[in-house]
Amino acid sequence: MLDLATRAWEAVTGLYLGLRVTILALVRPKNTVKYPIEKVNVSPRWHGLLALPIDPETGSDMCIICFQCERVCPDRCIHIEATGRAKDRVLTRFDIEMDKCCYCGLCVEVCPTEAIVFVPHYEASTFNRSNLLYDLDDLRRATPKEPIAHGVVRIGGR
Amino acid sequence: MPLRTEQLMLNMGPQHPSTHGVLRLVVTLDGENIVEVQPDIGYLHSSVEKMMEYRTYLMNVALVDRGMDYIAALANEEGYLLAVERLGGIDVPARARWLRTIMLEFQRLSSHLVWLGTWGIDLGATTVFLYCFREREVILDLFEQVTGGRLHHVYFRPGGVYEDLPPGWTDRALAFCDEFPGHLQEYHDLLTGNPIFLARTQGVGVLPKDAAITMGACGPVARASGINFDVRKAFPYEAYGEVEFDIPTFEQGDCFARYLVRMEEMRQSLRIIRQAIEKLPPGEIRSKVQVTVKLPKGEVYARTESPRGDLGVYLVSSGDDMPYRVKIRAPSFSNLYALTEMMRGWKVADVIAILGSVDIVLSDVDR
Amino acid sequence: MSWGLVEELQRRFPEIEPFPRPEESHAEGHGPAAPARGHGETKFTHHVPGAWVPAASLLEVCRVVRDEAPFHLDYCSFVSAVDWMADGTFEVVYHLYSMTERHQMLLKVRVPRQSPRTPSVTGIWGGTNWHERETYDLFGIVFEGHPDLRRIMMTEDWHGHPLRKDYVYEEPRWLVDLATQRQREIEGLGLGERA
Repeated sequence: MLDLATRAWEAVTGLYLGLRVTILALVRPKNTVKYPIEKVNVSPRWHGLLALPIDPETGSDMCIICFQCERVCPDRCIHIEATGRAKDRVLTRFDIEMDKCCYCGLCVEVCPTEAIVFVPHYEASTFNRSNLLYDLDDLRRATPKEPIAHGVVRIGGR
Repeated sequence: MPLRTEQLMLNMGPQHPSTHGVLRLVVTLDGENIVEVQPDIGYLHSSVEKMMEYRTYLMNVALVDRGMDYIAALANEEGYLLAVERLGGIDVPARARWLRTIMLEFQRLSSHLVWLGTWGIDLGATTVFLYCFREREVILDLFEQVTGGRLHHVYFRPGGVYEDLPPGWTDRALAFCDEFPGHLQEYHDLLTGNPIFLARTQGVGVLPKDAAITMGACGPVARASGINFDVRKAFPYEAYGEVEFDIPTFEQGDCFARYLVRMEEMRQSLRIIRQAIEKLPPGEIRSKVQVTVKLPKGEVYARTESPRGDLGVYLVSSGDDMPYRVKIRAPSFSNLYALTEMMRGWKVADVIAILGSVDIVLSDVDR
Repeated sequence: MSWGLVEELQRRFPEIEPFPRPEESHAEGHGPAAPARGHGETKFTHHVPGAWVPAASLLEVCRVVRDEAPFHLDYCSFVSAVDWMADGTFEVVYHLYSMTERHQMLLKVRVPRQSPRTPSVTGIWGGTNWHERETYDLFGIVFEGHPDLRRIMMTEDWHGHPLRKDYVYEEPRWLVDLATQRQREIEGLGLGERA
């Protein structure tokens, strides 16, 4: 009998403690972000999409074609081609297979001229896999080829 | 006429929400009682050990991040880099060692929160999941501000860390440390006193101490069975030798003890983080190490305490810029084998409770 | 401190061959531990104390190091192997740890690549069951006396043992075709011409 009473008391206190937590959560501010409508801010160090920023002085990217990023990429998803010799070398191709990219940031780290950087853009998914092959133009623009979903308000799209 | 009975083979998984990944359990049942459990693994096998033989030491940091335990990526990096640094005699500056300690303890917190939340769901306590992920979100934001990644950080480098803390980060981290004990009390209120939770966990899935040693159990599972062993104390690495913390150990060896061990570990992690932020020395964060560093010939075995247990990396170098052989001793792998011992004799409904309490990550099991 | 343990073990089993200590090992390298690949002159450093054990006396050695003082190595962390292809041997590696005495030791068994067989230690440390299955799966080393030696990571019908250095990926055929196709596509993209 006493045992039953103890167990009943434990059940009631257990229930009370638990319910107190959940009911108190009702009056707390909400943590949820209504994602496609509201966007979250990412930190400046965010490993987002890769981009080749344009140097405002020369109007071109800052790549010196040293192939460091291509060599250090663990997934081997960067493909670089260039023509010309020595100082006249011109970048003809800079492809990143974004579907293989693992956003590790080693290419950004080894780049001697900060020619390849991360941009704080995280909506890179597309409906077609071939859209994930980013060529030189895409990387200079640094935006995804396709918006993430049609009908969604695009914030800061191209 | 006598009733004809026979044993029943029950397939759990590979697609089962409570197996936390792609795990298949072949359960042999006698009525409701479990006669034998035969885990079938390998669905997530990606042969990381082979892939690491074809990548340089720096590239492998990005690989161990993903190829192993994806809930606690920094713990993998630490295990691997400890082996690399010991073999190569690479010096790590003091500030980097303390930074790593802070990050590893935050990683332990976030990993234990995932475990608690998902185990709560397994046992029917959905609310805990929401609360745990609310707190975990704060930790992931703290990670994001430092490393740029939320799950896969690639933050540690041979000989240090990639970047220093952003301004104001320690204040935010300390603010989290101040408010987290309150949340921990909430989980205790929700679960520890709950009679349904106690009925499902207390005395269930007992792993005796000697069986735990023989079966190779490690980490919180072993500590819940009364083995007072933590790599952070036994083989101190990074700054763990210079901070004070306790190792929670329980004798019961049941699911509830494993729960209590992890809950207490979270409190100890907060203690370590507070001390580490206080003692964080100024200075260099990275010693100079070549991108294609070549390690001298030799072998080394480095042990670290990942959130899941004793993570060891056995590294053999043949003097090249790539490892000759890497063996990753995954904690989940050993703990999953100990599971076959834990489950024998319990009811089929306890499978979920016991499996969840071991805290396996299938990517870590299969590698 | 653990190096003294190896000496003690050698006193009991003269047939074992301890690793050279890191500070006093001499320059000519050591058997299979000095691979043909890389720079032949530098020595191979063993950072963990241990010894090479002949396969014939492995079980006896293991029983002694588990039960008897001063070893008491009651916990086997892992069993794995290293493929020294140039020397034609596999090294089966056992990492042992003592939960009571807090010391560790590495045991290695050299087995020929042609017929890799070694006794199973599952009777001594039960937890090595899966580790030996994994080593069998990925290296093809047969552990004699293992209760349930099946593949664990790869599928049952897999051909070859992936972690061997000479492993070539040939089965199943459709997967090879897919991989070759993908490889060709990448080559079509042209992997950076280094002018």
